[in-house]
Amino acid sequence: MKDLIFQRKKYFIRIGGFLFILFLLVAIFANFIAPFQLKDRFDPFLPLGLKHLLGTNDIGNDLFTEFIYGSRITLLVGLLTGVFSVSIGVLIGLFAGYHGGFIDELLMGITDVILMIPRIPLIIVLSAFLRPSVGLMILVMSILWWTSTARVIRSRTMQIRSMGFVESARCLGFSGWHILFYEILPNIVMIIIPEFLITVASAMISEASLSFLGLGDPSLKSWGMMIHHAFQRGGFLNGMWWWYIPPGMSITLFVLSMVFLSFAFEETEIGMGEEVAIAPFNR
Amino acid sequence: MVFPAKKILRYIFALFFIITLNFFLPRAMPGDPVINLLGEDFIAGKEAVEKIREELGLNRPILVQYANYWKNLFQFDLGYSYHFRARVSSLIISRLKWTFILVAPSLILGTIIGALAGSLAGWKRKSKGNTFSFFFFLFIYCSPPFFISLLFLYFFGFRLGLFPLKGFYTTGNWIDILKHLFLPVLIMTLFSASRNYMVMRGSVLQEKEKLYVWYARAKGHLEDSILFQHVFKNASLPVITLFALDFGFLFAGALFIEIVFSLNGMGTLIYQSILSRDYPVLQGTFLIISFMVIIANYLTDWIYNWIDPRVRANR
Amino acid sequence: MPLLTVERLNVVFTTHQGRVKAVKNVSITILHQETLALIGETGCGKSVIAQSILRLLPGNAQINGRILFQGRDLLLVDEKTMASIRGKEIAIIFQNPSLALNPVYSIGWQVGEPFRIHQGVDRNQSIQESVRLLSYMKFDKPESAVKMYPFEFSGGMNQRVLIASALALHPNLIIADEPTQGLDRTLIKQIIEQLDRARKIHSSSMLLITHDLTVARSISDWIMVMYAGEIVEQVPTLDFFQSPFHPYSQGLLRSLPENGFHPIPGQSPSMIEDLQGCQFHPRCQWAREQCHREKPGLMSVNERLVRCFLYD
Repeated sequence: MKDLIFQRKKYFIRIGGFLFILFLLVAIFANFIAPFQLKDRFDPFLPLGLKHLLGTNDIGNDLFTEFIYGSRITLLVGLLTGVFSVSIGVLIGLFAGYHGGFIDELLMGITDVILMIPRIPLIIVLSAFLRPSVGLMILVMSILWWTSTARVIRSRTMQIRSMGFVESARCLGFSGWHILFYEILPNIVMIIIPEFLITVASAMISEASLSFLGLGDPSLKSWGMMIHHAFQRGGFLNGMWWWYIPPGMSITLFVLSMVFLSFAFEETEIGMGEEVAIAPFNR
Repeated sequence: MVFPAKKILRYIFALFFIITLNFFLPRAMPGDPVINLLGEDFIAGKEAVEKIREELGLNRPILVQYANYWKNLFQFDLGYSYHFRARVSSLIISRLKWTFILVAPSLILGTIIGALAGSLAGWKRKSKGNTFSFFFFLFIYCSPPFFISLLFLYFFGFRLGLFPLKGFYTTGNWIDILKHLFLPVLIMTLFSASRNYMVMRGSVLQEKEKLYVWYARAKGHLEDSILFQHVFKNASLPVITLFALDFGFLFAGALFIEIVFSLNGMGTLIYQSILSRDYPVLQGTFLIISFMVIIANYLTDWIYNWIDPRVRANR
Repeated sequence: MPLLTVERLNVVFTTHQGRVKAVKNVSITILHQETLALIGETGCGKSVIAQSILRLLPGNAQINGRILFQGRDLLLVDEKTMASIRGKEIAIIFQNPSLALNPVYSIGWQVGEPFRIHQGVDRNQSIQESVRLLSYMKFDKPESAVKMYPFEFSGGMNQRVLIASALALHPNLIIADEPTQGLDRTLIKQIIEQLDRARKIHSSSMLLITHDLTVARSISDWIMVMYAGEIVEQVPTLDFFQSPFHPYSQGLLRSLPENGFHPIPGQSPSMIEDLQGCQFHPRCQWAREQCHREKPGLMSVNERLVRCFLYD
């Protein structure tokens, strides 16, 4: 009876891990999996078939190939944004939480202000002015997405700071930096990972949404761009669901896998672990 | 209700920052500031461009320009769109009401549905209903709003022919308008409900373990009444906070839904402006949306203070 | 007929570390208008008994036995009936009063709850009743107190609030689970006095669960000592403090500050593994060979019951 209760949560985590690795492998080994090249042209608007698993688009490119290669960009943007913004968030959170006082007020004030800026509209404006590119998107998203990570890390750091071993380290004469990285950091790793997962998920949804508007990198087709083309070039109106549903579902599934993986990091109080709660990614 | 000075300061500062950002953007971005201020649709000869540059005050010192910018803002002057041939402010106002028609009922319904379903899911032991609702809302939660729109529109519009695919509203026929609005409102409602559901569920799961719940039982409360009389109020606090943070995302979601369904609101305005690089409209909408987000934050803060007595007392 | 008879109660919790046997074959009898103090160290299972009586144990608990309250077996009644008994016929007070109160509702609202739940009274009337109850508990300005919130009160005040709400409907049995935990000496005295006074006026019985021997001494008629989930001694209060029989009881008295603060050597046993022989024998100065091998039953000596081979 005991095992049954824990199993449910384990299923979620395993499925999440499996999906995540699957997508990662597809992205990495795209060249081997894709049947054709991105630039290859065939008859346009072909439906699903044996040769073209997802048919072809308006200029005859094989959609399955686009779909496989699209995973690279989508995952890249998501993961890099996650890495960068979480790094920024951790640094800021650590500093604010550890020093407290004026530095904390200042950093949290900045965080609050940035939190109130509507992100997607801002990126829309910036991308409209500048030439849309993957680099720009990663850069801007990293600068805007660190806020909730910073907040969470800050409160945890403050909690840890008030615990005994930090004080003793201070008394022993260790420098602030040393304490930060050797005493506090290991304790917040368990929080950083779910923050990372959720940031990646949110960044992917945003990248897909922005690409859907046509603000994605035109030379590097992400899943969002695929859907944009489907919508723009008659794929949707002609009922060619195989053009936009696979990339769209993949985004959903990848985000789902991130959410499932984050279950592994939840602290359940009763210790029975049968219920799972989700911290939302309101980003 | 008095707010602490610190909080009001942050709102004012945010407002100030965004307005200033909006001022510097067209002047800092690459390209001719004249074009950046007027949009790519503005085509004129060299002399005319210089004349416009003079008119726009681009040759004056920055601070003077800044002051004029503020002056214009107070007069609700957000510039002129050459693409749409209309003042940006009137464009936005005319579109805003359609966005409002989509967003207002959806947010209200979505909050209620999400909060109710989420609290039931968090409170009761596993049941078929709760498992279903969990996976259903999880799916919506993980999907980009534009994709859900495409999916729904495909199934209900294209396949089942229940709803129209494009075009709207100039007919003025009530039934026609409702037909066009049904799916978008449904999707927006589900979208906002999914977020409320997740937070509420998590929040109730946490509150469930608290001592006051146990004590309510010890006083003789029946299970169902404990959820709504005791837990709900406490559990909704994080939901309210998150709503403030989430509003920007929710609103952006609404814009995407509008675009997919070709509704006549801000979403399609932005979409067309992107295509035509109509910078004044893009900037104007960014400003207005920012205002709304700040106001939403302020209102949610206010509501939170009203509900949680612990905050009220710390004045 | 006794008010409450607990017969051979066994409670086992299933946890990841194994099956925790929290309560082992415990039998308790409480008569009308009587106070029984259940004493023992933290974690010995006393609170579990309280929770069992009210059927408020968490989901991973298995209960066996009978709990007869006014003739009815509480373990067999349906949930609805149980809910009507809770707060009305059996009320509970416990430690951590500030957490037991809901932070976002007013004191008046919460104290008035029993009236709304069991008597169908409306909100305004229930708040009026709260005012009455709070003035009875010696609150200075009950009319303004009812509008305040738990965070504005101290722990002691919140405890009085809890007591007020527990006694609201004149329950026949009051269960007080460590009601004075964390409060300072003067407050403890005050609260215990109020509790006792209220009990006498309503002619209720009380099951007082505590590890504070002074508190137990001041208001109880009987003392039951619990160790590692078992009852090891059951004795009238005066006799207990004059001459405790069980080695553990003696150790408890010796550990009191006024007696020299001598702690009992050793640690209490794990509730998961079964110890061979008497559960207390590793720490007992009179342990014999028999104590290593066999488990003593409850032996009756005059009015007492003692679980020790010394009294065989």
